[in-house]
Amino acid sequence: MKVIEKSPTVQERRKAALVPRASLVRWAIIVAIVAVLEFTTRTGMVSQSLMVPPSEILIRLAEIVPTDRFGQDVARTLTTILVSFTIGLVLGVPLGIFLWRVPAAGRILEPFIVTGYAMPTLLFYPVLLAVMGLNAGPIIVIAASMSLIPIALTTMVALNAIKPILHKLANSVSASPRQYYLKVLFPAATPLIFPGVKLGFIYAVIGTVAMEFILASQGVGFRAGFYYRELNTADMWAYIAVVIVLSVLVNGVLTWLEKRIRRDML
Amino acid sequence: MSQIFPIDTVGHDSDVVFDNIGMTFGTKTGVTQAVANVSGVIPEGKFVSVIGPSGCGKSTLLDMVGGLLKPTKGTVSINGETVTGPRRDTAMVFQEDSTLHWRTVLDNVAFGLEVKGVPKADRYESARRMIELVGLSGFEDHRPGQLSGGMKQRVAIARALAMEPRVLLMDEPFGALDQQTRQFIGRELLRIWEKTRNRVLFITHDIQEAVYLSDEVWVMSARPSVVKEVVTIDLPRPRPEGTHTLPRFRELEDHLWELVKVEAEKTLGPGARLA
Amino acid sequence: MSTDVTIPSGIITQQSADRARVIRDNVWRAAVLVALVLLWALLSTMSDLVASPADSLNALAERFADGSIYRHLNATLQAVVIGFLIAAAVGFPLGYAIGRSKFLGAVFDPLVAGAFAIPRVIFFPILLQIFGVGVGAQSAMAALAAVFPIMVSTTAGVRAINPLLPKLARSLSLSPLQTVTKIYIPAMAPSLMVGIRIGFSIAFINVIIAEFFAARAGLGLLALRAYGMLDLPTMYGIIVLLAAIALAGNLVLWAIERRLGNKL
Ligand SMILES: Nc1ncnc2c1ncn2[C@@H]1O[C@H](COP(=O)(O)OP(=O)(O)O)[C@@H](O)[C@H]1O
Ligand SMILES: [Mg+2]
Repeated sequence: MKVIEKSPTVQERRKAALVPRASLVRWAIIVAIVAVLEFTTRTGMVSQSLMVPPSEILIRLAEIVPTDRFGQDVARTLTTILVSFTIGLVLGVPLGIFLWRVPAAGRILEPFIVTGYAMPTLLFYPVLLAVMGLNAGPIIVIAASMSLIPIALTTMVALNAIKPILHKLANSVSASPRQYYLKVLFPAATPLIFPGVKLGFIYAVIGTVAMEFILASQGVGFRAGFYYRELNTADMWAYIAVVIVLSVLVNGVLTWLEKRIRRDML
Repeated sequence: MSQIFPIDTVGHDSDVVFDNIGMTFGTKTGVTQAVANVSGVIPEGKFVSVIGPSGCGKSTLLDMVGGLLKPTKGTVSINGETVTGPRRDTAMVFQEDSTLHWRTVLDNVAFGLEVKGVPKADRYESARRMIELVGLSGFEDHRPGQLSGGMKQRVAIARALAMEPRVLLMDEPFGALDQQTRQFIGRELLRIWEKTRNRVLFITHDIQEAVYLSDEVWVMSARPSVVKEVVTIDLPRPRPEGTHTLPRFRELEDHLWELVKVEAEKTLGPGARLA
Repeated sequence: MSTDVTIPSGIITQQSADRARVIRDNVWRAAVLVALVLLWALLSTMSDLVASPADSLNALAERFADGSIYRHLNATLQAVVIGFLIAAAVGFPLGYAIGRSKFLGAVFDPLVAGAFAIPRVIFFPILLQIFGVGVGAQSAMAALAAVFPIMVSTTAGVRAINPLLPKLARSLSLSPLQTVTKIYIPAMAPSLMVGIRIGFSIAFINVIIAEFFAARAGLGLLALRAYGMLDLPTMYGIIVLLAAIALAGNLVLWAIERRLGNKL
């Protein structure tokens, strides 16, 4: 009996010890990679036209970050991401609800949706450009369409996964349609929808930066491509670093939110 | 069609009355006649249990009283009004866990009242009272994920009781619990019911539980089902712990067992046991 | 005040696909397709920016007839296939290892998730410098794009395995190889397929994006050139071709999924 009572605490202790040790190892790996890059670039094992030493990237960043143009680029990129994601969310959730309410529509449209998922929608860019002009519009349309699909699909799956008993319960207490959605369906589905929303946000980031990279004339994605063409490796890497930091930050915030939202699922 | 039944022939205005109800499901492969014909009355202040082989239509019957399903034949009426949908004076408890995992125990218990539009202070007050009644005091701020199966079912019962239903409908509420827990909660339920004395329709597949709790046990036949026999449980109330050992208790149990065995064999073949 | 006694139909999922329904669904799908083409035709009459479906398909057919498209089709498909295979060869084992070991999971989960969130196309210039302009850089781009989704799904699949299954394997004294092939892979098949599907989609999209940026051959490049020469029918024809490739790829994956599903 004693052993059985004791074992969870031993496991818990082990688990508690695992997390800090793991993050230590993780940071060690990151530092090692940076150190290797620094060493290989400094010694010329990696050509400086391919990559500049990380320390130099930092120096470039310190010069670039305070400039007005940097502020404009970041602001442009962030607003494009946010607007695209908002459109994806506002259209994706109702689409998911529709696909759930009308399962036949979900079945019939699935091949189209999945094909849309694999479609390089950026091919429509020239047309959008001609229609909307050289502004953030075409990028927003493309990034929003990339963001929408995972949101809609996860919403459908999440609503399907709600236990039938909850529908029965809502009915038995005569919940109004409004109460049914707000007090039962959405709270029940949110933890399951959230991974899709997170994916939708990441896709908005990826879509925006990728479009900027190849097509735009502003934004952090554009700068990285621009300096490549200028053969300015240091500035190209500085902007790549900005994109990496931005993406990792966004992902961190979303992961933190996800943990909070899913906490009461257990 | 008249909404009110002649008082003398069928029952009182305040009763739950089943008037020749039947339910036939249309499915892709054809039709399933789940409930053939059920008539009966649950009088004021009575606890009625329904037993019968699995798949005979017990849940269907309960859902029809709760207004979740419309009978394809006949009507159910409560207080003289035909049931056309979920009513505010009925409350249901289901076999599966129906707690809302994102709400605390207190908010779960208050859920029915919240939907009814009861102000916050009032519904919390009732909810707290019910939480105490079902023995969950101290767990108000816990979430269902932190509770055992038995405790979750007590939350569901408290939620139903908080709505102060005139008719309480329970579909195998203890079905997923272990024997010890279900006996314990059964006793608790009875203790609470002695105070509220609302009408209860209680579905179970446990004969002992049915005898211990009820004033009447309705035995349903195999599908398409009818009420084969109504057995009056003439054991005195309140029923203390030793009730199970009374000779009369054993007699009633054996009698019900015989009735049910015949039906179970019809559905599953000879030698089969009650599911 | 709802007296609605119906339960939303979404919760009723019929497992056994009934033949008549499958046919009915396909008729509907065909109808949706026709409607899309009609919409396209309508748009083409309204705007000079949209070529008509007939013109576009003709232009595409011409490219096939004179053989000029094969070089580009080959380049794109090659890059997608090579990149995807590299991503699979790297992503599955790594994802599996991260999923099996609690410690590796704790170390690498945040790294993989962070990498997943980075728009990998940003690294294309570096790939260009390493591999030069050509299929090599496009393949590397596809591999870099597809490897993280494959890892993430594999890890999720390993973790979702019913913990009783490894116990079962031990109780039957299966060899490690048997445990993987007879227990883990079948139990993970659905997640593996998700990873493959997303991996394919992302590899495909990234190859096209990369071709827009710099390429010697490829459908993305061809579309861009067609647009540059204001040859809209060819551009729309290539969009149709890309949609057809995306659909065909997914149909193949579906068929594999169904066969796996039947076997398990
Ligand atoms: N929505 C439905 N559609 C079709 N058949 C149903 C439906 N609900 C129940 N049935 C059928 O009706 C019969 C009775 O079901 P139920 O009331 O759940 O039985 P019990 O609760 O007594 O086990 C079963 O044969 C079941 O398959
Ligand atoms: Mg039942």
